[in-house]
Amino acid sequence: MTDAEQHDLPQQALRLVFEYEGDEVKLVSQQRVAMLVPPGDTRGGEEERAGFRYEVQDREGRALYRRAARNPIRTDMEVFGPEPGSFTHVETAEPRGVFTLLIPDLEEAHTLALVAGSAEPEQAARGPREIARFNLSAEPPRRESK
Amino acid sequence: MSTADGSVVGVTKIVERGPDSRRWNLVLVSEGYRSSELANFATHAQDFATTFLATPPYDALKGGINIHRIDVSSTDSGADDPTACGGSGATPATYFDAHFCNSGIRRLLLLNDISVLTVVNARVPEWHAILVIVNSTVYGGGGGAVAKYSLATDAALIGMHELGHAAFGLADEYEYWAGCGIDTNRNNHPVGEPTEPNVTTSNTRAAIKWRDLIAAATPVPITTNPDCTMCDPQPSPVAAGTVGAFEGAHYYHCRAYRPEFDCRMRNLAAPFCAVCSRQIRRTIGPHLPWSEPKEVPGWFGAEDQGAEIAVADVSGNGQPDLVVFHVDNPGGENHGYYRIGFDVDAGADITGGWSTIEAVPGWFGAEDQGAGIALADISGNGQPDLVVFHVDNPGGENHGYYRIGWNLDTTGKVTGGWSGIKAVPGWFGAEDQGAGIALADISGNGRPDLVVFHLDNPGGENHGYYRIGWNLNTAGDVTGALGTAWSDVKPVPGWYGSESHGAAIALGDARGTGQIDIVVNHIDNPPGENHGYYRIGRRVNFGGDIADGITGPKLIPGWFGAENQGAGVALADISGNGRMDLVVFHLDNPGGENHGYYRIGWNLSSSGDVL
Repeated sequence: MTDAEQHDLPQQALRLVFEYEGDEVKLVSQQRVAMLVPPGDTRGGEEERAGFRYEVQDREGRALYRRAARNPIRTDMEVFGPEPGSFTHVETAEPRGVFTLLIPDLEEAHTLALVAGSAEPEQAARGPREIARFNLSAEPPRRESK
Repeated sequence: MSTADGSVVGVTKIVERGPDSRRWNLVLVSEGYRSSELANFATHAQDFATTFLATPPYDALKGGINIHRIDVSSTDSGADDPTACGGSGATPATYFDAHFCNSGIRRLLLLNDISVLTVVNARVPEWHAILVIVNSTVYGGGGGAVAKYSLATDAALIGMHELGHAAFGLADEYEYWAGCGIDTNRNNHPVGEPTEPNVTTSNTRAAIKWRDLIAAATPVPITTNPDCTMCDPQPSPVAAGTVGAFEGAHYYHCRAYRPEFDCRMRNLAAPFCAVCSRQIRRTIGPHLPWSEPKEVPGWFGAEDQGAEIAVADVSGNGQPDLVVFHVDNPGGENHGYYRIGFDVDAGADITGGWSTIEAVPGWFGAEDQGAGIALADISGNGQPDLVVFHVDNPGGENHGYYRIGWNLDTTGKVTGGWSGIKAVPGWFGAEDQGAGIALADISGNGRPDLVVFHLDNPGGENHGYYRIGWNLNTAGDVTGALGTAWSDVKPVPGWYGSESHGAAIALGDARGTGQIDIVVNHIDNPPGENHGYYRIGRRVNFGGDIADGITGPKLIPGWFGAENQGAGVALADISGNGRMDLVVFHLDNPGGENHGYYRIGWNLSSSGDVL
């Protein structure tokens, strides 16, 4: 096998890093990466799910890539114990954290929309709603180095 | 207490299974190790890697997994351990600021996730999952974008559980939130199906996401919770490992179901249940070069004279289905049969079950030397049609024939009857050791062209040949192009060995160039074990010639048995990630009953390799 074959790049992907605090979600970095992207949920047969999904759209708002995922925005923290049945959760006073998404690096991609429902009893009845939208064609925002 | 309190020393790939762009990459990062302690971290990381790769289902997927270690030194050792939670009061200066005692709980261990992501994005940009090992013997761990755990006994199990969330999208399967006997608002799960694959709000067999894993004799649900105000105390009424629906899951006592009584997503010490294992296989599987050979269940007879595989969405649900064909040679007249494996997934598993074995009516002769199958909407009515091919060996010169089964319904049955048997004109030699058929619009005029392949066995070295029947009309007849119905017989150059036990052909954009390539495989039969090979003819032009040369034969690794009676090959994006996958099939003839096996080579590269 030649060197070129060894380093054959399977696909260009974009790794997006987000920070969230309260209801605000910020896209803090975009990085091009040569790696396989998880398949999108474009094959049909997917039920309308109560959880989280993200969607890459073109300039006209047409979906180019859509994928359901476990909601990465946590309003609680899971706490572990070594014994069976010893998990517990604590609510966070102010949801705050970081998450990443991997999407295909598509020339036509213009916008990323995040949609989330909730498993919380009080919020679940409201159904999924768009929680954030980002312009993918913009230059990645700068982040101060630590 | 920040990245000023240490430095990133370097990165080491401690498990190397191939290029990072192809493999599933797990990254282990140190926290709270002084420079002098990084050798300890190397040991801790290696211990975790060894345990991880020995844990089902990762043990069967290790060929697709790279593990990296990033050495990050800290000024001090350990993690903050406040006295408010009964800790030592230590406040070491560490790179990622790891600290116990979050929300007043000592074992809740957190750190600066964004700093970890910054380091890993720079050092291993192709990462899929990150685990931070914190140099403290206090029990603790935590989740989020970055999983973390301490060195206390069994704390690594937290890392295993958190990977289930972060890397594979698995839900918690336990039925409480704060704890059994504590919760007062966790009686009934809200309406709506959770996104995660391992919990459901459905309690009927047909609606459960993992219904294909539930045995017919298993009642659904297996358990119901008699008191939704509390956790269900009843023990499992079925054997461990039984897949079904157990009420109580996803933080609720009732109206949510988990697949098995226990699972790592419910109990840190338990193994992953079958549904979670499958989700892990689906995620990591396409990062393997090749899947393991998977058996096609059911009868193949004891003697066959040809077989083939094709991929198409027969059921129309958007998921690819496998169509397997064989020619049975029971003595006397031969007979053709096909079956369909519905919904092959990214773990190479058939999740929609197998159809019944369907007979192809009519004459196949008494001796055949190869067979093929292909699917396309030839009639143009929106339903797939089935084209079946065989090479007859009557004594003297061989002859090729095809027929068409019209209008496959979503269960895989031919509903529009069968065409007559149509002869393929011209030379097939007197002895063949494999044949195949494929359909594609090579001429670019909107009508499918029929490509027929055979492996000639003249004595000495074998040779492969194909020809093209131009422009099938809606009745399935070759109507021709440029004044000719069929192209001349074209050689597929290169080595085929002198004895083969099957061969096949597929057409498609194998290399992601937007062009049609020809893929040919054959099973070589040297003394001892057989071996499978494929080669790719780069870009078939409008004249049907291979325009950009052909690759050398590429070895398909692994077992093919010592005697085979048919081979198949197909191209499709099984994993759904935009890269073409290669499906190969062989019919094993071990003595007694034959058995069929398929395997998938994931994500063909631009050079046609499975990397």
